[in-house]
Amino acid sequence: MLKLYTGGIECLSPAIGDEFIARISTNYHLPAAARSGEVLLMDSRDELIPSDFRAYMVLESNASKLQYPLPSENVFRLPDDQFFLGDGDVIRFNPQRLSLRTIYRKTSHSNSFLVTERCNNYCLMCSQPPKDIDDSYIVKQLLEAVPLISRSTNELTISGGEPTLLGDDLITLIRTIKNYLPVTGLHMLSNGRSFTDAKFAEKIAQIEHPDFMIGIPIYSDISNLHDYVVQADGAFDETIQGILNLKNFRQRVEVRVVIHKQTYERLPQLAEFLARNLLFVDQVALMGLEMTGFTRPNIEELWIDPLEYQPQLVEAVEILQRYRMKVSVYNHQLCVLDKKLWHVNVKSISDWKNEYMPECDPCTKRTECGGFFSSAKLRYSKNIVPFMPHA
Amino acid sequence: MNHNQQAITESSDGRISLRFDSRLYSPTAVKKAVYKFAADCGAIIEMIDEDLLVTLTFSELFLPAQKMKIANSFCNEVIDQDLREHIAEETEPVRNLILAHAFSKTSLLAED
Amino acid sequence: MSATVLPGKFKGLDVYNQSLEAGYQLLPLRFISLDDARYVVTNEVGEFIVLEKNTFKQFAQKQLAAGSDLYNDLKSKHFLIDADSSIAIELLALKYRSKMDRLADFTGLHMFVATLRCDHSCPYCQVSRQSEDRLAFDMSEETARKAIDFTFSSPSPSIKIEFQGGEPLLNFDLIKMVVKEAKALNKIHQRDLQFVIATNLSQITDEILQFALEEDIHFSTSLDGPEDLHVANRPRPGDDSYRKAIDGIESIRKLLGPEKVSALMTTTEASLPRVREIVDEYVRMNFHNIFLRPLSPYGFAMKTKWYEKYDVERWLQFYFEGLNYIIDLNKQGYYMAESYAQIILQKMFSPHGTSYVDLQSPAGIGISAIIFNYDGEVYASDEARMLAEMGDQTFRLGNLAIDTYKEMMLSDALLAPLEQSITESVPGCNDCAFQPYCGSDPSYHHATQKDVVGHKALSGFCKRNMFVMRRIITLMEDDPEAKNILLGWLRV
Repeated sequence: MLKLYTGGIECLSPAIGDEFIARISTNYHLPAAARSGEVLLMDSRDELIPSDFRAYMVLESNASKLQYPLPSENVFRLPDDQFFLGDGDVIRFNPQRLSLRTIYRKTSHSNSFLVTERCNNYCLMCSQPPKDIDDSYIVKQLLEAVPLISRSTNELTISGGEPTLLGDDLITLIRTIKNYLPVTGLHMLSNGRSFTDAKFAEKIAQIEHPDFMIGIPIYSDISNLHDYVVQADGAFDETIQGILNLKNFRQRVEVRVVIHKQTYERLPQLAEFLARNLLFVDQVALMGLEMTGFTRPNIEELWIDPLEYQPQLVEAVEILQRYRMKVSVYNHQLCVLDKKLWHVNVKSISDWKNEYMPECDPCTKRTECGGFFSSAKLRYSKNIVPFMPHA
Repeated sequence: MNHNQQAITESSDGRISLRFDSRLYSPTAVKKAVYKFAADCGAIIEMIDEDLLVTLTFSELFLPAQKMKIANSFCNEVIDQDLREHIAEETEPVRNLILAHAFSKTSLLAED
Repeated sequence: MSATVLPGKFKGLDVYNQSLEAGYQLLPLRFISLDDARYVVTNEVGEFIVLEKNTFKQFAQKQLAAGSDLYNDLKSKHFLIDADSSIAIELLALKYRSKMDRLADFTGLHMFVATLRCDHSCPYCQVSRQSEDRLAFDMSEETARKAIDFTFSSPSPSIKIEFQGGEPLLNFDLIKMVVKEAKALNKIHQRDLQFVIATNLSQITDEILQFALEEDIHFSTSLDGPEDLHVANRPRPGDDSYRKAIDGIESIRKLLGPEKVSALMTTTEASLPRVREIVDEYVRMNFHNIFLRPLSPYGFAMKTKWYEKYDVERWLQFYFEGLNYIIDLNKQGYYMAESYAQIILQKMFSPHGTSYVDLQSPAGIGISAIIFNYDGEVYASDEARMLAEMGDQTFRLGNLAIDTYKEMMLSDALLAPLEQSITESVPGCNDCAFQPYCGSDPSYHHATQKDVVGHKALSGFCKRNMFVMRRIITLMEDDPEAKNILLGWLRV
């Protein structure tokens, strides 16, 4: 699990200035005129340290090997757990508080922007528990960060909280991403409720982002059961209305379902419901439970061994496929996933989240399998059995 | 079948008479059942006091047991038709709403 | 920076279920007996559920317990609505629209009778002529051109031009001309344009095959069953109609591929006891689709008194034996779909209607399919043409040389039967639970009862469909293996 936020930073040369957004560079020969928005990540090479960078950083293990005089300002020593930092990454750094957040990693396949922690749902299993605060500074900082992001980025995700609570700021953010990153695919996670306002759905459509999909959860075919899972009365109707409005404006929509004790029983009925009523959605994602956030306090209401719900999962997938809906399964380990579903399984746990259990050591399918969220140490299937090589 | 509401009697000429309390079974329900059974039997409907008297007529080829079976099915059909009428009446407003939505010229989904 | 967690703790399911206490309302639905113990219940858009009769009555009387599995299933499938959610209205409207959207596409299938001349003399045929007289019985180029213009007057995004006869390949020059000119016109109209030749394959030549390959033409032929049955049904000088058909099928498969030739069987008196052999013939010939068709009550069949001997019950026996046998074949590992069941399954599960002309409401006559006879006469359906051959011009819409598209498509001959026979409003159909799966067939009812609506209790069409639908639904409910096989036939 990568540590994308850290505080254990030491100042090696006086810190000047306020919090800023900048890009990491490892290029000692970057033209001088281009250095002012970049932070040089130094290493132990035998070279003069060039001037004019916004700031300078070095990992602890390299700090002692620095051979040349340090610049007079803004030199910082990072703990070694920031080893993953590399050229092209975008950071937010506070020189006074000595705190560093990695906003974007160029080498990651799964960059995700949390745009707000506010939310109008309160899902039992929320992995990012909502906070009722004014965090509008986040989107402002993201707007600064986007121009620094590499144009070769494949994909970005916008998440929260509930991103649509940003209103017009969200529109601005998506448009900015489109403008600076015209070939980057954009995925947004949302409960869809704000799109009951058809005008808002229209505004999204008017951006005309070339590769944009909104992932919207529906947890049951029954309104009161869905509302219970998301802890918001009326959410089911609003979410579906939102999806209909988005589809009216030809936006791409993915329906997401997290499978746990409150959702597995009617999974086939939900599949049937989606096929009969929302056949026009672009894809369906069926996801395993994460042991973070609200899942922990609600664990007894939510936990079910994935092996136990395989029959419902297989039936649901078969129903969706019969209707030629695109369906994928995420966040399941291969040994607890019915073989019939391996062809729709996606190895999906973000690289900054995944791990394996001791049982997995001898497994021949380690690399195919996504492994676990590191949070799974809290509780995971009793049926994890490694695949052994044939005798 | 509640035998208080209708009675089945067979007459000597092979016809079967059925009595339906018109306070409980609408004439329309009875007529619809007559329509449905046209291949199996003919029917004459009369109103006597508050009862609908339905006389079923059969071709000579039918045995008494077959005729009774048809008469019983006929009674069940009247009950079903009566229920259909109630359901249709009850759901008519929402049905009109759904069809109005479906046929509206404006998009269903952009509510202004 | 201090942060506050949202106020309030997690609320239990009972809190979210509170609105259910107000009870529920019924959504529009119809019901009919499936058997003595059960009803099948359908809604406006063809979703269905099978319930014990007492349970249904409980449900209809609003006595069902909120939150039970059955309650939830009824809610999910839009048979009931409660105070917790109202999105069902929107969804039902959308689904209804989808089911009807084929109507807006309008006429897709356009049949061109290239010639009445034929080398076969099938007793059940309504129309052919044993003749060499081309002038008398061939479609002229002038007529064909008018027919092509008429065809492109249809707004349908998909147009299928099907060559019929007699034996259309006997006027192959006309087929070539129509294909060429239709394609030229299509450069402007940009429709999905397809061509089919309905032929007995006795006239197939390399030249014809090559043309079909170049122009991407599909063949539809007759295969009535094993050789003796086929030959008896379809006489031809030399009694080689079976051999010709088989050889023709093989040649087409070889050059054009198996997707380019399909076979239809015609059910006759002689077919009725031999359904397994007929199916086996299709298996032997590597077909994966067979349409166990009823015999239409038209034309020479009635004249030759075949129709009298043949009635719905005997056909149903034939059909069910065939369907069971086909399901068994599937269980044994040979994929074979029965087309009639497939059409009904499509109507049960697909969001859109089907294009099968004989099972639509409003009827498919004219607005789904139309036929141009060799002499320029325009009929609302192939059945209508057959009726005309017997002297009954009821469904004649006009003549290409005299009447315009508008005149013909707005004529009473077309609009009256369409309007009068809509199942949503005729006795027997308007409250029938099978309505979403059924249709109206004004030609059939006119031919058998002299009335485009027909008394449904006396209708072979109605009886046949009810029996088949009941059987399919019963299989889905009671036989999980059969259910899987049937669902595998869906082409959603």
